[in-house]
Amino acid sequence: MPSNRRRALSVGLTGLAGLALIALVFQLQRPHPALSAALVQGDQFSLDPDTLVGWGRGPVQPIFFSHRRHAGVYEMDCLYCHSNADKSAWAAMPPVELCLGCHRVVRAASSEIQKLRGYQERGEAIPWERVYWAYDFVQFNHGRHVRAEVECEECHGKVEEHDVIYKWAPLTMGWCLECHKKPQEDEAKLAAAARNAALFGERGRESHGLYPRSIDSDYGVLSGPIDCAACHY
Amino acid sequence: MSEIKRRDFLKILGLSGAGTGLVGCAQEPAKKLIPYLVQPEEIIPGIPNWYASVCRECPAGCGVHVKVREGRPIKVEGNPDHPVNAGRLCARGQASLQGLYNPDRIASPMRRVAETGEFAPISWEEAEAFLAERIQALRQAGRADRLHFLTDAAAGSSERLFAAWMEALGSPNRLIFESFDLEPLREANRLTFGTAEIPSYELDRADLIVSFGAGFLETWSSPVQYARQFSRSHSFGDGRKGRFIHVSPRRSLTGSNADQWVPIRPASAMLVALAMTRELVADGHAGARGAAIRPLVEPFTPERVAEAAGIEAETVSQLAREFAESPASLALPPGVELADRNATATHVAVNLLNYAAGNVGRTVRFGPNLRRGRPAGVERLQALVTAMNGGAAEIVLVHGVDPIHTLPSAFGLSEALENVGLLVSFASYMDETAARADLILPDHTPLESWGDHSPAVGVHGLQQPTINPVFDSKHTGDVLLSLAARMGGDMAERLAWPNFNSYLQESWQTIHQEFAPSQSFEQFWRAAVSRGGVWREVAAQPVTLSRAVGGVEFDVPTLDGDATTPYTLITYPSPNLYDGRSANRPWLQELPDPVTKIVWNSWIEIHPDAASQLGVQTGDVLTVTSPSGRLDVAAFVHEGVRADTVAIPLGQGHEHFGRWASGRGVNPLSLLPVAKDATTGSPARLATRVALSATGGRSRLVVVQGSDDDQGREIAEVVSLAAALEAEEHAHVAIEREPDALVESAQDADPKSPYRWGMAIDLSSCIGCSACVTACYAENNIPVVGEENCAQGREMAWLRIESYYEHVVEENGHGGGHGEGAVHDESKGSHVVHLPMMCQHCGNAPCEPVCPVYATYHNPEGLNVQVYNRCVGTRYCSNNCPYKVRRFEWFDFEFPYPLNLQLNPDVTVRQKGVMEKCTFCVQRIMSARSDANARGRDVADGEVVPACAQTCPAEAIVFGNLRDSNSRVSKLARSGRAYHVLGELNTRPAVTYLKEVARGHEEG
Repeated sequence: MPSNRRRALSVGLTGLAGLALIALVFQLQRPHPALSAALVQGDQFSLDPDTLVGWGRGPVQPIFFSHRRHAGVYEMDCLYCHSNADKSAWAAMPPVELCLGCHRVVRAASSEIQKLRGYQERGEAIPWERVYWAYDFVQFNHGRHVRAEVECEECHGKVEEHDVIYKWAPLTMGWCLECHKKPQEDEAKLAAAARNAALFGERGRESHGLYPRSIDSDYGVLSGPIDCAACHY
Repeated sequence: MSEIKRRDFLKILGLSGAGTGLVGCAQEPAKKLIPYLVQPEEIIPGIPNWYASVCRECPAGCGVHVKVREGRPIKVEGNPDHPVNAGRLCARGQASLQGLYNPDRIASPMRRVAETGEFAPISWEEAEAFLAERIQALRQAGRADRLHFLTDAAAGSSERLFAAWMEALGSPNRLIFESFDLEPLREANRLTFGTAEIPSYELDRADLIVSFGAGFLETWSSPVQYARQFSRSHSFGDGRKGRFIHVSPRRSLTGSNADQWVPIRPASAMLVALAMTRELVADGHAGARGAAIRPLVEPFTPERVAEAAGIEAETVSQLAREFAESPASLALPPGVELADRNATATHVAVNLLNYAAGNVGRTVRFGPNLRRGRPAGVERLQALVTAMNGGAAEIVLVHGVDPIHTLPSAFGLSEALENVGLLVSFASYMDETAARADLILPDHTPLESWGDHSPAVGVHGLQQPTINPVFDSKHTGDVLLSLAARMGGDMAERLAWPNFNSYLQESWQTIHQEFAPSQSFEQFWRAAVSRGGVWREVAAQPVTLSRAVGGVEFDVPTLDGDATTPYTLITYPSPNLYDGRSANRPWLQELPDPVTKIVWNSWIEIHPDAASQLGVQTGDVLTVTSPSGRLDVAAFVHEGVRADTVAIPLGQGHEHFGRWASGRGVNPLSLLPVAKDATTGSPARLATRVALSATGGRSRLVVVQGSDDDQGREIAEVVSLAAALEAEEHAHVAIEREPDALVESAQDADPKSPYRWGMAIDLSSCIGCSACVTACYAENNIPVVGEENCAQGREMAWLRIESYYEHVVEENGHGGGHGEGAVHDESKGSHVVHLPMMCQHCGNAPCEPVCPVYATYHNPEGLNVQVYNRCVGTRYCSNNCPYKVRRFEWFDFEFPYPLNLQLNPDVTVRQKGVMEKCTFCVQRIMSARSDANARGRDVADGEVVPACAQTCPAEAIVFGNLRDSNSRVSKLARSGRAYHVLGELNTRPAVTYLKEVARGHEEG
């Protein structure tokens, strides 16, 4: 008897799982039931599963990490975790040790943090799913963009409002050039340009718009170059 | 992650259409982002770390800086502070990365299974336990002396540890073996000057260098150091230029840089040197020094010697006169390939010449001596073979050497190994000796290990690991210490260090006391590791003529063979492959031999007269027979050897060693007898004559340079010293008049750009060593295509060295003159010009207008840019390029694991179907500009150094901004010797060449 009941139970559960999958197919914006369960469990902020921003538009990560929580609610600076985005060509991912710097204490009991600790204890790297990438023939330099006062959100969207990170911008060459060609109006960037121009001016050489309608950070003016070799080599 | 979750994820991925697999036709990028667990403090992903270390590709001990990206060494460059190489490196040093990442490395300890005869991997624990047990058994039986240990000749801590280990074990049978030793030189110095040392030769102070054959620019002693010094004195500068006379039967790469080649008969260098000394003394140039040596050299008249040497007596007198009259002369001995049965006496003769001319203490300085291990002579090696055959070698350990490949087969070592009880190899690769071993305990490669090497007195190089071991290898020092611990007792007590690093640190205590006793050891050690070692100036010590020199017998050395063997055989170390240890490095196999331009093969160099006698052409297979052996090899006909001499390079002819080396070419050591220098017992390589006969067969020799003659098209230009001086004079006047004027090609960039990148190459400096070519491969992810593709002209080298045989042209000083020149070269061949050729980044580039998709264009900074993602592979650009520097990717060439770990992440790995070419290392320009930009200024002169210019031992390549009239490149481009290759096509190249200058014997 108990075996029959178990079978019935398992059939029922399988059916439910199937239904859940169908629900998934039709309601991609809704989070995975298992995931939302994990989130609600022990979550004092009780995220509403229906309102996870970005759900279904980006890959499921090995650990559910919410940028909304970290960058939005707690207003953490992007560079706190992606600390090399202004120095290096690569923004890079924070080391596990950095996460645990807070999470040894903060919400240490949550299932997601347990997963994090698991990775650390096993000495295993977290295999984050890559969202933003460029082909090998594109030499993208984060540092130069950050230093030119391009805001993170100009390419990554308002991640402080996103729970799940997805490819917010198309990252096509046309999209890159839209910005590289655009005459700049942004105050911060104009200020940066003025600083650069002043530096150039001191040395007796006038700033020059090397490329039509563009503002070129390389030559003391603003915006990006549209020379192919700036990115392709 | 559980099964169901992954499946769900895949579904979601598929349904949401967010899969990245649908995009485009390009290769899929990596889809995971892997963070560090704990990020090392000094690492920022995307920014390289540099570690100082020591190059161990040959005994020269150059200092290196290793560029490491995310834990992977991707480039090796010279350490600018190091006294040996001052920031430069040769092709073999550049290729040390391919030793580290060689896919044919032995991946773990291996033991031969008795039943199958095949190797099977075992664990380190098993391997060490097994070996310790066997050695222990030998010791307990009181037969410890039946353990023999063969090592290379490195001078450093591992050397001392080997000695200590053998001593503790109680075996005297430690043998140092090195393919090319300098023992005859050392002994000659003991006989002549009473000091058994290798002095420092100061080539940069010499106005006239007479070399009796030493390949000092390629393989002899310390080639990078000598190349730099040579170029300092021999290149044209400040209105003067040194002169170099090569007195040798073969014109090697070194000889090809000579102003005059005197092709003497093989094994007659001693006589020529003695006759020159005699003339010097007879003419009174030797002053008081002459009296002591007069009786020694008196019998060697130029007339008598000339006949033996196969040259005119007048030539000998001319050499002697020039040598005496030069303000600073220097005579260099024959190299290792010309070491004959009386090598020590030959070196004594050269010493006497230097002594008579007063060079000792000036261009030959004792004190800052070179340090090399003392390799065993022929007798010790024969004793080892005898011991093996007699069953007295129960355990033989081999570290760092491959004696089966580098000893003449006449020694019978290969057969003797059959009788060795247990042959243990510490090789990192399956070399010929390792392939015969019973147990292999793979050592780390030098880039993975701690170590030190002292190449000269007062110079202590320190080697540090630059990467975690790529395979399951272990430092041999650690293995020996671990074995000692396992054996216990006395052995463990005397070798109680926990690991090799602690042994190393302890042996550096004495160096610490010598260099910085006031610092703590910890401070000193950290500083030494970060600098790559410690060094200090060493004062020269005066030496006097020793009485022992009176007893030296100047007997003409004998050569094996009789009337049936008319040709003398020279077997010389390959500039690329050395003694064969670099043979499994694809970069070096594909690097054209600097003299013959042959890739991936062996050949025999034969003079056209001899070839026509035999009726053979380049590519015809010859059977070479000596009294000791025979082999078949393809002929390469050229004028770089005497008609009575033939030459075969060493390095090829491996049976094992790896996919790129095995079954390739021949090993000429099978032709050599067991011959030794009469005084030192050091192996004699110039020892036999051979007979040649054509087999009638043909073999494909892939010669990548089509012609060594530029057909009068002024591709390579050489002028006399007088013409160069006059041209410089005119240029100087022009520069005085308009100091800020720019060269014409400076215009070829956007009017608003502060930069027009350009390059200047001084052909009077370039020695043709090809280090730049390999550096370019390493920096720019250039694939290796193999012999087959090279034969079809598909090699991918962005930079090549073209060598042309030119006649010296007298000019009217205004450039462009092309009259009958005064040829100062008495030898049959004329002046060799080595010309590095790469994309000229033309201002008016023929490749640009023919591209239908704008994949190649001129960028605002004057670069001729190739956009890979735009290129559709029509190859029109290549057809239209007069310099033939564009390369097409015919296939997706592979970088078999772990070679792919070497790839430079800053440079695109190109795919099949795109065109590529020299970019002037645009990634380095971008990075320098980005740095300068962050500081709010322009790129300063010297901040951008392309890989070729960085490594050039001769400092021939200068890169910079042509729009800055004060930059080095601008100044050189305005030189009187400046010209553009095929400039008449109005391509307006950014690369300016400075004409080669030949100095005749009447000029000074």
